[in-house]
This record gives sequence, C-alpha cells and structure tokens, in this order.
Amino acid sequence: MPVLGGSEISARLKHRNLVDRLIVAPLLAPEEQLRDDQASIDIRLGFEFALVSPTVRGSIDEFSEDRFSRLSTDHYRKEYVPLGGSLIIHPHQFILAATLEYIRLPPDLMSYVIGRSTWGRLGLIVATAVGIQPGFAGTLTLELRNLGETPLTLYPGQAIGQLFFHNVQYAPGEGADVPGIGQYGGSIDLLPRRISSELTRKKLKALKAKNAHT
Amino acid sequence: MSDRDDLGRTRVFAAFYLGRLRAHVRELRGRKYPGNHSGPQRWLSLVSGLLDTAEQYLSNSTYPSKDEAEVRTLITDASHLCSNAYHYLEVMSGADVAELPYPLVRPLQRWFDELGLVEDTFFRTELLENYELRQFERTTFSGIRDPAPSLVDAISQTKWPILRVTVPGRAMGIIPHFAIVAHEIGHAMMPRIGLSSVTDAVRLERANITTRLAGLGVPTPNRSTFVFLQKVLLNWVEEFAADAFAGFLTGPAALFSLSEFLQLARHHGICDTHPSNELRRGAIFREMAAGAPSFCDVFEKHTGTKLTATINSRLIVAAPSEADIAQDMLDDGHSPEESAVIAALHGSMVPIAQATYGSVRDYLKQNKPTLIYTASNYENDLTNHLLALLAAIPPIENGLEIGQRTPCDFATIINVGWVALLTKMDQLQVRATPADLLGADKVERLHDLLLKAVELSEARREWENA
Repeated sequence: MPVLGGSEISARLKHRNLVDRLIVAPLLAPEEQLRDDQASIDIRLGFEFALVSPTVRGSIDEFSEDRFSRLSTDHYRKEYVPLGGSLIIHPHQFILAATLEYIRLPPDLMSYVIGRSTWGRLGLIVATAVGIQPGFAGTLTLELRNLGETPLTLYPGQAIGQLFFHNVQYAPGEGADVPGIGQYGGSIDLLPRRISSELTRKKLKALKAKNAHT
Repeated sequence: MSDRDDLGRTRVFAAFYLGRLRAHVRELRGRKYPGNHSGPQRWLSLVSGLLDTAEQYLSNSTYPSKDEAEVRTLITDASHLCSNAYHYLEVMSGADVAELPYPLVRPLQRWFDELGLVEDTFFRTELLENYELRQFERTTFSGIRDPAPSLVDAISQTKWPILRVTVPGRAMGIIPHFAIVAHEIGHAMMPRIGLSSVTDAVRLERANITTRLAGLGVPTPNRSTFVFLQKVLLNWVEEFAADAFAGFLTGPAALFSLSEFLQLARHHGICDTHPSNELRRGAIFREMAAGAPSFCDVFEKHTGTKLTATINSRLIVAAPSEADIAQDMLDDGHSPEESAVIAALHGSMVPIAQATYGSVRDYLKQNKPTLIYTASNYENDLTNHLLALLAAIPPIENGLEIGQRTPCDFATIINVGWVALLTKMDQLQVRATPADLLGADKVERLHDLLLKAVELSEARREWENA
C-alpha cells in the first residue's frame, strides 16, 4: 500500500469528482500544513474537549445492568474552548479532543493519525486509535494523555498531529465503488458510542450469562 | 421592637441580598458567552454598577449619624436596586455557552455589524418557540440618585440601546430556523428605512379600506378608530419590513423558516401586531418567485420540485374570510370597530407589503448590496455544496483550489441545509441508529453537520482576521 506524497495529497484535496475528493477542511494555513516534500498533512487541535469525570461507579462495563456503568456520556464533561482560549492538561490526565479539521476519506484511501514529535517529546500522547477507515466522514477524536511531569497548555488551532494516507486495494468489483459509512460516518461527537459490534456484543452477553450459571 | 431595630434588620437583609447578588454576578462573569462579543459583560457591568450604588446607599445609612427618614430611604432604595439587579440578571439568563452553541452567535452578530447596528448586543435562549428582539434604553439604568462611579462608567461605555436577541433554546434551537434572526434585525433597522413608497401604497388603498370598513359596519370611523387603524398599519408594515430583511439576507431559508415557525401557532396569525401568516408567506414567496432565474427556478432545478406559496404543504393554515377575521378579533376582545379595522386592512395589504419589500430592497442595495442573498448565490451554493452535504461533507469553504478557498456564509449553510432537509434526506449518507424508524436521528446528524459548517467557516474567518 503506497503512501500518498504531498503533491498527490494536494491533487486529491482538489479532485473534481466528489467521490474521489479527499476532504480535510478548513486548512487554516495550507502552506504550513501541506507541503510537497512531506507525505502527510498537519492537523490542528479543535474546540471541543471531553474530560473524564470522577465517578463513584466501579468501572465502565458494557454488559452492566447499571445504566451508568455502561458506555455512557455521563462519564465525561464537555468543554468548548474557542480560538484564542486554552485548556491545561495535567500530568497523567486523559482528555478526548476533536480535531479542528473535518475529514472525509474517499473509498480508496485510508489514513493514520500520528502525534507530532514535538508534543511527544513533551510527554503528550495524541492518539491511540490511529487507523481511519475508507469513507470515514467527521472530525477525529484524539485521545490525549500527558505522560510527562509538567502541565501543558493546549490552544485550539495548534498543530497537534499528522495524517498519512494509503491507497486501499480491493478485489475486483469490491469496495471502492461504495461510499463507506463506518461506525462514525458523519460523526462529530467526541464520545464513544459502543465497544463491541452487535454480533460480538450478543455473543459475549450470551457467554456471560452462561458463565454466571456455571 | 423599635423602629430602629426594624431598620437594622432591613439593612442586614439588604446587605445579605446584595452579597448574594454579587456572588451571582461573579459567577456569571466567569462563564463563557458564545461568539466572544462584549454584550453580556457590558450588561453585567451595568448590573454591578447598580449593586455598587446599592452598597453605597447602605454604607451611608449608618444610624444615628443620619436622619432616620433619610436612613429609611437609603435602605429602601438599596433594596429596590437589588431587586432591579436580580431582575436584570434574569434578563440575560440563557446567554451562556451551555445554552447557546458557541459558534452560532458570531455570524448573527456579523449581520448586526455589517448593517451598522453598533449597539451593544447579546444573544440568549429561552425555552419558548419564539424569536424576539428587545431594546433596553439608557433610561433603564440612568436617573438613579447618587450613582456609583462604576455605574456612571458602565452607562457611558455602553452603546445604547442594548439589543437583546432571544432565540429558542435546546430542542427548538434549530440552525436552519436562525434565518429568523435576520427578521429580528429588521425590527432594529426599521427607523432607517425610507417609507415614502409605502405611504403612497397606503394612499392608493385608502378608498378600498374605507369601502371594506363600511361593509363591516363602520361607515364613518371616528378618531379613535382611525388612530387604531394607523397603529395596526404601522405594526403590520414593520412586520413585513422585518420579513423582507430576512428574505433579502437569507433567501429561501427565510421563507421556509418563517413559514414553519408561523405554522407552529396552528393559527392564521392575524392580530393587531401581526398580519396574517398567509400574507407574510405570500409576500416573501413573491420575492422568491421573481426574476429569471428566480429562487423557485433554482430550487426546482436542483430538487425537481416546484415550490409553491404554501411551501407545498397541505397543513398550512390559510387566512379566513374577512367576516371570520372580524369575528375572531371580537372573540379576542377587540371592539367591533377595531375588529372591523383589522379585517378591512387584511384585504389591502398585498400592495402595501410589496411597497415595503421594495423599500427594504432599495435600502440594502444602496447601503449593503453584498449582504443580499441572490438567486445566483443560491444556484452556486446548491451546485457546490448540496451533493457534498449529502455525502456528509458540511459546507465549510467555497472553491477547490487550495489557498484560494473562502469561508462559506451563514446564508449558504442554512440554504443548503434547508434543501437537504426538505427534499433529500433519503440520500444523506450518514449513519443513523437502527432504531431510527421515524428518521429523526438522521435529521439530527444533518443538524450536526450544519453546526460544524458554521463552526469551521467561522474559525476560518477568525483565523484570516487575526
């Protein structure tokens, strides 16, 4: 799977055909974010953050009978920080953050989001769920964790990561013709919706029930 | 207990009330207000000035250094100022970012700025299906005896009158409806519009109105009936002018949002302050159908649907007959003469509405032509953004060339949104929950995309202006 170079990324960003067009918008300073000599595009920190709230519940358990212990938005407090504002991430704190850019991948591209090395050296891990499926449409949710010992002040609009793009190869007649709408297609919400797919969930629930009776 | 004890207790209560109000103001000052504009903080400065004045009164009310009657007056006045401050805090409830999406206020504020409405403004939500513009004059805070310096400063720094725009909150805070804010701006712009052509239209209709009034049992209106007629006429002309602003600033989005919002009342809408919904819809629809290509032509080209004055809905409530209007007005408590006036005016309003739209159009063409949303804008917007929106790409920027893209206008976003919402929901490529049998979840996803478009187009604009 070849990685797209800078000029190829540019070409895909202005592709006349909507299906084939790569969307990363808005590029606030394209001359900085996208260069022909780089094989990636810089993405910026957005405005929405979700901070994990302290909870009296024992754990997040998708099979729990207790509504609050299941995957629930109640575990998070959302914070909106406009351009010019800031938010501090303390040592060992975990925060969800949106990218500023809205991204839509065409069906024949997949992407990886990687943290910028400057942030890494300061102890900030930017993303753990780094793979983005073909057809994804939405803002990316970054899982920020400050592994360093110093609080870091984050400003929306700061370059936070890079997107690398790969062509996806399908078997003849598969995939590329279909606009893929994945679990987060058209999603701009930061918060997780589910851990398991319906099938996995059903199986695991059945196994859990069986296990409880033995 | 003596009068002196009584005064002492009242003083303590006033100080206690004052302390709690100060804590409330401190908390409100720390909150975020959407759009990063100065209105809410300005309002809080005025309220703080009132509280400082109240504190000054209480500090001066030390007994027995002052006469007992004077002490009583000072304490009572301090209490009144606290009560006023409490009320004024309620006036701005719903203004913070928890109630009003942060990015939404900026494009609305820009309409005010570009139209030269430099008054301090703040936006707030209310859990009511209502859009409203309220003006607070300098007299609201001035005329207070011995004002604290902070109150004097706050009054002098404020650009009066303060404009408060109320929009529906939470469930009814729906982005495409925000075209109606342009209608509210129209109310604020009313004093600037030249109405000579409207006066001419009224003159031409005078005989018709007189004939209708006679037919409704008022052959010779007395002076008070005539004064009432003038008042109703002015109210109605102002509503048409406000609708015209919405129509010229936002195009078909104004037709759709006003029609839908007026329909919420499930009523024909006629009263002494508002003309019938049918007349209002009809007036704005005439603008949409005018020209070649018209907005209606563009809508039909992109959707295959011919747009009608009833926005293709069988649920729209039509205006009743003249006799029924008169009866409805009687039932609403108007006198027979007033009821006849309202019913008689109804039949004469089409040319008057047209003249009003003409006056607003002339004003905008002369003063801010770039703010007029045209059928050509509509064509470009639907060509460039409708299919993209259906592919879950929000209308954030115009243009393909990197480095030459421009941020989309609010009018673009809501117009493309309305077309998708009214005619293309089956083609919207977003993931809704499997349980979304009624399609509401899908509409919510569309709403999310429109809000994202507003946020990112505004971010783009803000970045360029930095």
